[in-house]
Amino acid sequence: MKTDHLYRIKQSVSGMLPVALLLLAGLLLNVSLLIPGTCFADEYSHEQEMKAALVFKLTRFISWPDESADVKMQTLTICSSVNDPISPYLDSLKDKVSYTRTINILHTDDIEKIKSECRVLYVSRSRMPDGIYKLKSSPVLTISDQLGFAKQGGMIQITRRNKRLRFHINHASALQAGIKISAPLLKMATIIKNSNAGETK
Amino acid sequence: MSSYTFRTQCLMNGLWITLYCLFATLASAAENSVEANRYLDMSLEDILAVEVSSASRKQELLSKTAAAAFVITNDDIRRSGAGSIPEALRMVPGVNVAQINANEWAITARGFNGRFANKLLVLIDGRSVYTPLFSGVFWSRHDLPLEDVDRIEVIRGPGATLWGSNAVNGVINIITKHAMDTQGGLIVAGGGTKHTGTGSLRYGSEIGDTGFGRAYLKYDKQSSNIDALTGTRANDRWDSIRGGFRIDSEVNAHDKLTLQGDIFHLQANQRVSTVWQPTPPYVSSVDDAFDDKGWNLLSRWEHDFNELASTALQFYFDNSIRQEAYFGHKQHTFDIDFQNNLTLAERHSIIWGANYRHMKDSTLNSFNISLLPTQASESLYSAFLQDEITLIEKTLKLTIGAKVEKRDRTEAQIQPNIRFNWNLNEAHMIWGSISKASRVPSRTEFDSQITRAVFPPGPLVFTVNGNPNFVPEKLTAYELGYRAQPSDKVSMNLTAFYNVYDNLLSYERVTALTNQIGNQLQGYSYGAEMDMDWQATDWWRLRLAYSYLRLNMQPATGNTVPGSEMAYENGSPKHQASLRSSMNLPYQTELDLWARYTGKLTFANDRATTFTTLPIGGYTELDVRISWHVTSALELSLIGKNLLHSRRLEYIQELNIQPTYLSRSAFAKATLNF
Repeated sequence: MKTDHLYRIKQSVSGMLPVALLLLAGLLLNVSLLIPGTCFADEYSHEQEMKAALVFKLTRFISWPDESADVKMQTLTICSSVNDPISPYLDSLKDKVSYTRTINILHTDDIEKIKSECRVLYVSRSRMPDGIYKLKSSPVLTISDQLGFAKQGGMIQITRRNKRLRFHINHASALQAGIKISAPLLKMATIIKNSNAGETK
Repeated sequence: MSSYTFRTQCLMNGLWITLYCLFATLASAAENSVEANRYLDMSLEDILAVEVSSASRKQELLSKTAAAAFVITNDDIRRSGAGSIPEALRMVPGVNVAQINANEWAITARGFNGRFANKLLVLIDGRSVYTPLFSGVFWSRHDLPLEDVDRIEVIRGPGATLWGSNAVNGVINIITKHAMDTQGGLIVAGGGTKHTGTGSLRYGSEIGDTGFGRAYLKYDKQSSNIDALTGTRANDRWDSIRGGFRIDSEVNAHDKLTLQGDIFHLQANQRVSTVWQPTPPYVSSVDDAFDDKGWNLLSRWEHDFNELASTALQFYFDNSIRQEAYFGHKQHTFDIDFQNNLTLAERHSIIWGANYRHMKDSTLNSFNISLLPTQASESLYSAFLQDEITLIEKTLKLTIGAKVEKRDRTEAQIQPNIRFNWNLNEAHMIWGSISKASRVPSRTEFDSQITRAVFPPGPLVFTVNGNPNFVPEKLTAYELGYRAQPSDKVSMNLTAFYNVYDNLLSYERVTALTNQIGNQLQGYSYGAEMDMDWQATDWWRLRLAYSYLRLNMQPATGNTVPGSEMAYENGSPKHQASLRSSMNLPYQTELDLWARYTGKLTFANDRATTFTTLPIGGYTELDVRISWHVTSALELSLIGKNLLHSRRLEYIQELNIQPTYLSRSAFAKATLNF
């Protein structure tokens, strides 16, 4: 008699499980209603978003040749190619203020325009134009996620190592263009020399 | 109050809350603004500490695709305490995992489980690992270092169009990390009561300016389960040694090359309950010690022309040899695969491709199992085309596709599918699909002769024979799903399906002593799956999965031996649930709890029902993991598995293998990065 009773309890407990789960699902959804809606997580865009944020964050560690230590320019123009996959993510930086400079975003493929208007040029891996190394002596900070970019004369390479983003900086390239990169950023980065000179940490 | 009315009331409450929430959320989430960058408020150092997903654009679309998809990440595996891929798969809704003995598993999706479960496509980095011998998987062969697994993508339902052969009830896609993400050294050492020892070493470094590589070596030792009939050790201990490498190189901005390979050697034991002989004593139990070894080599070239077009070419060799007491099998596979993605007129995203596979095998037959001819060589050809059409920008997509597959010994199979996904808004999506899939027959289904009994004197031998005219099993699947991410703290998936099967494997009576494999079963299955992910606080995450499954089968003709339809109908649990809790506690410690429920199997298979004293009951189980990050490079963890039962039966194999009990176990592990 007693075992029969126990058996029935067991039966009803196991039968209850899906019901309890459904209830829990309802409760969880209910809680979720209190939080404003966002987009589906999109991992590729996460990485692009992180890169765009890094571009913004690192500008405060950079000085351009026509700036003095305490007088920084008012507007800082960050450029990318019209079709570059980073472009929509750079757009979200527009009008943000980085250390007295207000960010402006420009999408162009015109080398002359880049030379005259851009302070920063971001070129995604898949978009590497042949002209990028022609910028060499212009005071345009070049940034890319192309592997080997820093070694080939690009200034800052955003690279991935063990699932985290890292900087490779070709300091000589930047100095050659009159761009100064301050010590805290250099400390966080791996310093790269041009490919004929080998690599040091 | 009787339990019945109480349950009904609960059910109504649950339904009411769920429905209310659903509609309230749908109604409220109409507005959507330009998205702000989530990382701008973080410091530079903090951004550099965030883990990046390596999912490529195509792979990442899984979260938006019109299919029942579930992803197990590397972190999910680590925090589950899983020591192998089968253990990790227990967290996936719709997937049933049952351990047979220490080195054999029965794993399936949406029903039809068994040691020889044959409706899943399992891929490791694009290499198909189900064996053409019986269309199932030798799971213990694929015991990769889990630290190197980036993620496991599980797609329930037919994925035949995009993924390839055998993707009837599901696809399990195991993806290892890019070599860029395994730089430096890693040592893992551990041991416990069941998994008595594990040790692995991996080292990765840069190769030239644009390449990365890694190599690994791994050793495992596992002790025996408990023999469910004698209560003593089941003689199924095993150990394995494996090694491998992976090189990824970005040759230039548009070309990527991958080269990878593995080699393994298992030395395992198993207790074979029934080994038949033509002479007295006719039947005996054998403690078998067997060898299983193999290697594979894969290379892949990916080229993108621009954002709108890319192409990939992959080929691999896979070789294995397994020698058991009553059967030996040697398999060679060569596979070449081409894929091209392109976007046309902005709204057509097209993927097409072609595949050629050559399979050659040879068997070492015995009185128990023989395959004739002993050597066979066969080719499989396929081509597919899929077009994803954007009907309304960001809102409605329609996908149509088809695959045609021809194997030397079967007729060409056309497998079409049509899918839609409708984004109600940014946070809610409804999808649906109708698809057809065929399962290419295995070598066993064509060519085998399996001894099932020997009756002295004489003796009379009762056999089950393969059928050279066996045709592909067919499925038409109807799926409907709802996916919601109402906030970045909560996401959920709901899927319902209805599957109609035809030409399913049956056993047909030919003579009193001979059954033959046939295609005479048909029927349907239906079910629902749910998974939910809730980041309750910044230190506490909860994950819930639940699945419900029913099958209904019947023979098409009168000669069908009863039993198979019973196994199809009652060999899968009706209810399964999993609840994982992951807490990040002070002092860099973590506490993970994993509770699981699996329903009973009233008729796992013919053989299982002959063990009347060994019913396969439902069970609730608990795993606990505690870990401490001593430094950022060193992690110590303690894992308790199957804590609620001292011994428990999960499955009884269809043939030969002695039933075994799983037991409670403990495991300690140290992971050091250098």
